[in-house]
Order: sequence, then structure tokens, then C-alpha cells
Amino acid sequence: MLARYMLRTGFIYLLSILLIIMIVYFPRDAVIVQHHEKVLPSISGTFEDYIPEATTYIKKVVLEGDLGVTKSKTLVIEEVKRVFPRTMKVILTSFFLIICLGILKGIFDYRNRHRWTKLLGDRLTSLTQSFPDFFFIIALIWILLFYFPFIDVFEYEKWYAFILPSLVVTVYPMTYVAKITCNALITEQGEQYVQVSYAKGFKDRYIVYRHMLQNSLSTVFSNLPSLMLLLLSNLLILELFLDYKGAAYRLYTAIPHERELMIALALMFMTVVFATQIVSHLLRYYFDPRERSV
Amino acid sequence: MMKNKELTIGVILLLILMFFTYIGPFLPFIDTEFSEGRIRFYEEGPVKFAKAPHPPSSDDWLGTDRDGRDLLSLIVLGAKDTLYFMLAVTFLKYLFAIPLGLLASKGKGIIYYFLSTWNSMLSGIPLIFMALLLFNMPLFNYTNERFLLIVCTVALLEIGKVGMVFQQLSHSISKKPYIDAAITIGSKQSYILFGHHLPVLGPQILIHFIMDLGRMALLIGQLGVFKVFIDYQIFPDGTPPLQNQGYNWGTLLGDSKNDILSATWIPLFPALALTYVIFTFNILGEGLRKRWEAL
Repeated sequence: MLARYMLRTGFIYLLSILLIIMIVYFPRDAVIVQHHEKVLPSISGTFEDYIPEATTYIKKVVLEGDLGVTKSKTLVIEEVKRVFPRTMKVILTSFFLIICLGILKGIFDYRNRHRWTKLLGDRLTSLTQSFPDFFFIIALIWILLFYFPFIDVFEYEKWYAFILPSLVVTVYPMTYVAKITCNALITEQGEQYVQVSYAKGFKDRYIVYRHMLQNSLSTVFSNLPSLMLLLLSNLLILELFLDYKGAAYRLYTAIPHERELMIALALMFMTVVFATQIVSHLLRYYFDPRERSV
Repeated sequence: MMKNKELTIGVILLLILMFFTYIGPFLPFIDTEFSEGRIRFYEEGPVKFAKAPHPPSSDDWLGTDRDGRDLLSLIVLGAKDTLYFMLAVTFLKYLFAIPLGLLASKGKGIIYYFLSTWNSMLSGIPLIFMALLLFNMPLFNYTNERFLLIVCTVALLEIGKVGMVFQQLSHSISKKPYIDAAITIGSKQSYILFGHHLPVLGPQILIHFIMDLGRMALLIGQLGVFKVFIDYQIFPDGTPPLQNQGYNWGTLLGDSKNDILSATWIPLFPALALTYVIFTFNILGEGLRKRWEAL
């Protein structure tokens, strides 16, 4: 079962790479022709060049390991090596923070559902989710710039530069984890083993942490890939606004002319997402006996 | 009658939104002409003139953009464009995703494999990355039908995802006894799918549809932040030859990276308007879900 899942994921991964290559190599020679009173745009690139161009690229990559050059004639592979570690640091740190803090916030939301502190609990979480994600990032950057001028927001070369972006990008996806955890705990509370524990007189905290949380984690783990997607799209906005010269920023500047770099960076991001999918599957597989028995 | 706060609030917010979208352009304080006002002269006060963007004042309640156009009017006029885009994408998506999801409900067969593969392929890369890659292509730039093309593409990118949601919902229904009964009395498969599955899924479809509208509003904002606009007009002699003509809210966010420091109100208010729309549809969806579960 596990092997089959891996095989399928690998196959899908290859298909997605192919899709990206086909999109990037789509004919792009276009001109605007003006007729009387009418403007007619037309794409002059032909489909006869399309497939050969794409296959040449694939052959070059597979056979020679040559990923091509960027606009400034540097090797794509060097460029990726330069920018991707910066982004990877942010991704790993914030992904870890998102899950840990999100679960804690979810538990907080769950346990404070019926007290006045619910204003800080699920009410705050729901409100945060209604804002567009870019709004949050812009607002946080604005606050940092105007109220904490001693923090160097635009730093990206020092070793500690990844800390601030990681923290900023954590806020929005965290609320998703909180929501998922809280909902999973609510579905869990009707189960009989929870009722029995309450009847035996265990403390609320003990039941939530020792019994219910473990069963709810599976739901959180199954959502890891979509969280990663959310994190990546937030990261793109963040890097653009902070001028953090990471991979997402480079990808944005590479569009639409540096085809080979676009493919390479998109591929790196896809690898991250597919790795998350596999990790999520494995975590569920080993954490939750119910998954294994299916 | 159970109290359903979410639904009430949602409906009220939606009515306000509808009022400003359709009646708004006729209100006296909404300027539809956009008279030029990049420089304003003042008769009183120490400052004699000021260059656009003008900050919020009693003349322009939400300030003006860099061309001196009143931001409140822009937002009210842009509401229609924004809503049409959201509706068009979501409608098109559901139009194809629901039949595909129903046909794939058995969890096998060619439609099922097509849907699930399409879904997994596109869940490997964030929608906004894909949109940036696609919508900067000449295919999308050099056309007079950009709006239509973008609507169709976004819908196509999301069909797999929505289709799989309905596949799973429909699959869970297919285990119910009344479906077995329908099979036993010899109903046709198409009748079972569209006569027995679809009506039960109806409320779910509505809820998902409304929630999805909110997500599309978010997408408009994100695209706007990355300077990908939904409507272009081509001016062969103009500089630049492609000029943004739409009024939708994303367009106002296009320069937010610079505006955030010098004219915070330009990105702030469209973003708040988007928040309002997302919040409205989220809470409306929640309310409908609650109402449906209470039945």
C-alpha cells in the first residue's frame, strides 16, 4: 500500500514537471497588428517549434545535466544554489512554527470555547482568517517599519536574516492549523472514550493532551500539503515586499523571460510540496494505527 | 426556530454589498466621471497646492489614488467587476466539476483517474505560482479576450480540486440504503446520479459555492499585488502598449509595494473591501451550513 502510494506520487511528480515545461515553453512570439480602427493581436510563434524546443530542453537536462543559463549568463544551477537555501531556511523554520504554535492555539481555542477568553480564542482565529493573506503581511511589515525602526527589516544576507520573515509568514497559516485542530477536537469530544475519561474524573487538561490530541493529530497531518501550499504563496508575497532575495523573489523576477530558471525554481518548489505530501502520508501511517489497518 | 446568528449577519452583509454594487454608482457622493485632479490648489491655509495621491479628507473620504481619482468611487465602481469575475470563475468551475465528480463517484473508471490525476498534479504548486506563470504569457497578454481566457483558465486549474470534493461527497452517499433500493428496482445509472445523488448534494453545493466565492476574491487580491490584472486594453501607440482598464479591486493593489510607505490608504482600503467580501461569503457559508445541519 505504501509502495503503491510512493509510486503514484512519483508518477504525478513527473507529470507535473512536464506540465510546467509545456507551459513555460508555450510559443511566445507575439505582435500587435493594427487594422483600420481595430487592433488585432496575434501570436506568431508556431506550434511546429513548440514541441521540438521543449524536447530539446528536456534532453539537455536529462542527458547532459545542463539546466541552462540565466539572463545575465550565469548558470541556472548556481543561481538556484545561491537563492534557494535562503528560502529553505524560512520554509523549514516557519513550517515548524506553524504546526507547533497552530496546534497549541487550536487547543487554546478548544478549551476556552465557553469562557470570555473565547474572544482571544476561536473568535480571533476566525477574524484573522477573513483577512486576505497579503493584507496581513503588508500590515505586519508596516508596523515593523514605523514602530520598530531599529529592526532591519530588509536584511537578507546575514545569518539571522531568516528569522524575521519566518515569524511574519507564520501568522496567517497558523490560524488554519488552529482551526483544523479545534474542529478535530470538537469532533473527538463526542467519542465514548472521552466520556469515560471524564466519568472517571480525570482532569480536563489531561484528557485533552493525553487522549484527544493524539487522535486529532492525524487530521492535522493530513492537511500538511495544503498548509505548505498556503505557506509558499504567502512566502512569495513576503519576499516581494521585504525584498528578501530568496527563491520565490527570484522566480517572480524571472517571469516571463528566463525560461530555464523559471522551470528550475518551480521544480524546486514542487519538490518541497511533494516531499511534504510524502511526509504527511508517512506521519499518518506511523502515528495512527487506524491508517495502517485500512 | 433556532437562532442562527451567522446566517443573519451574512445576509445583512450581502445586502449591503449588493446595495453598494448596484445602487452605489448612482449615489451623490460617488464620482463616476473621474475628473482630472492630480494637482489641487488650496485658497486657505499655509499649503497652496498638493500633488496626488491626496490623503483622506472631507472631499475624498478614503483619499485618492495617484491619478487623483476618488478611492471610494473607484472601490464602489470596481465592486461589479470584482463580483463578476468571482461569480464567472466559480460558476464555470462548478458547471463542469459537479457532473465530473458525480460521474467519478464510484472511485474507478477513466473520469475518476483523470480527475484525481489532474487534482494531484496541480496540488503540487500553489495556484498563485501557476497563475503568475500562465498569465504573463503572450497568449494571455496579446488578446482581446483576456478576461474570458483568464476566467476559463482559473476554472480549469481548479476543476480537479472541486471535482474531487464532490466525488468524495457523492461516494459517501452511494453507500446509503436508498441508493441500493434504486439499483434494485432497476433505475438507470444516469438517473441514480442526477436524480438521487444531486438533490441530496444540493445544499452542500451551495455552501461550497459560496465559500469558493470568497477564495476567488482572495485570488483577485493576490493577482493584483503581483501586478497581474484581469482586464487589459491594447493601445498600439501608447506607452506602455498594454494598459489596465478594469476597475476591479486588484488593480488598485498593483503598486502597494511603493504605496505602503508613502500612501498607505491606497492599498489599505481595497484590501479592506476584499476582506469585507471574503468575510461576508465565509460567514454566509457558515450560516447556511448551520441552517442545513439544523434541519
